[in-house]
Amino acid sequence: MYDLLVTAGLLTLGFVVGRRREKKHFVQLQQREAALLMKLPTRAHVGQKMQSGQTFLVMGSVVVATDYFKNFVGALKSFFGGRMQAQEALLDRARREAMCRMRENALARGAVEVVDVHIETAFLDKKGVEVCAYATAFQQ
Amino acid sequence: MNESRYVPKPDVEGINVADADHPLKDLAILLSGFLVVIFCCYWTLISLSDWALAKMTLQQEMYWFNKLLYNETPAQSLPDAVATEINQLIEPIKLLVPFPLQISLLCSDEINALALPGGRILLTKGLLDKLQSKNALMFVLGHEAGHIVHRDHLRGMGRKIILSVSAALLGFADAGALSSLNQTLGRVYDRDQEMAADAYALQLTQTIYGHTWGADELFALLSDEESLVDRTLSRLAGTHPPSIDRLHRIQQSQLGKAPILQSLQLKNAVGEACLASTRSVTGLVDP
Repeated sequence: MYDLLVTAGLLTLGFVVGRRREKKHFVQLQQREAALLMKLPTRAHVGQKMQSGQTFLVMGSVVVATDYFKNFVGALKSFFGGRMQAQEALLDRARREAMCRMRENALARGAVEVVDVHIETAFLDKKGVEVCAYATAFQQ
Repeated sequence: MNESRYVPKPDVEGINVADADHPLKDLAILLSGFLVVIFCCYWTLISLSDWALAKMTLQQEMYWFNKLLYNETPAQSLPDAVATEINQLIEPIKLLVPFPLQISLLCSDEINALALPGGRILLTKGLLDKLQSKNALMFVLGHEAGHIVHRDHLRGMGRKIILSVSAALLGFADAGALSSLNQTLGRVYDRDQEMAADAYALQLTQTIYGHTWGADELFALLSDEESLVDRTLSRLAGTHPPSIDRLHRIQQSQLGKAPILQSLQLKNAVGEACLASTRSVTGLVDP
């Protein structure tokens, strides 16, 4: 009985706190992505080659923890199958955060554009997810 | 020829995140489905276990457990004072139960009594210290005998084995919540068994003494120590109903004026037997 009460408590905590943090994070991501879209210079023409300048590697990574509610629902989902909506949101957040960090890193180092973006994902067993975005940055 | 230009545009928000159902609705649907599966498996396996164990007769049970299992660990004899008293006490009950009663003493201060497969009843030192009348002890013996007659101890053992093996096979052996859920499901069944054993004990007490006065002594003791939280938890998910409820049921069967009850004179002898013993389980009355 005590185990059930503890589980119910952890589920409630995970749902309330996890959902609140998730919403807040998505709002922040929208603002940062909008800002980066305006700040990052764009290519004038497809295929135009850089005549001078430097290229270097830029990287951004993030580790986002999952919560008890997501783990619980995920475990049930894996029993029956179907789309794991809770995990979709977690991975989307991690991917976008890693991309933002990578682009912010590029901007801070004076890059005019980034090309050849790669995204790698690693799962921390039942605890969260790590996403790493890396790309080649150009500086004129 | 016009060259296409690269123009950055923001992603459409929410394209990568399904927002079809509210997470709580999703959880409710999944949990309901999962509970239905667990319920079906649970009741199927338990019914199979009960059906198989019901095929075992009392005689077969006595033979297998006493000759094959307990034979390797013979109990010491109880001191004469305790054995004589218990033998006198169980003389009338021996004629009423359909199996040979075997009583052992467990040197523990906990107030408890247990029915074991093979027709053995364990009485704790704590119980014998607290009980004042022979009628109260007779009710306790009758209750445990009721479990043996109804085969509750065997069914309980079968349920535990099935649940443990199933949980291990499904990979839930380490999931506290699921194992707790399984136990809670099983407890509704346990409470019914407890009430049936109480009814059996009351009938025995009534047959032996012609009344049920004194049968409520143990529950009067236990209910004094029971808090409101304990009672609520027992009603919700305890293996036993709250003592206060059982006390009221027994008291409803007590009619007329309370007679003078014979006192139980086992406290000192049991204390000495436990002091002299090197083992936690000692003494066997095997008439």
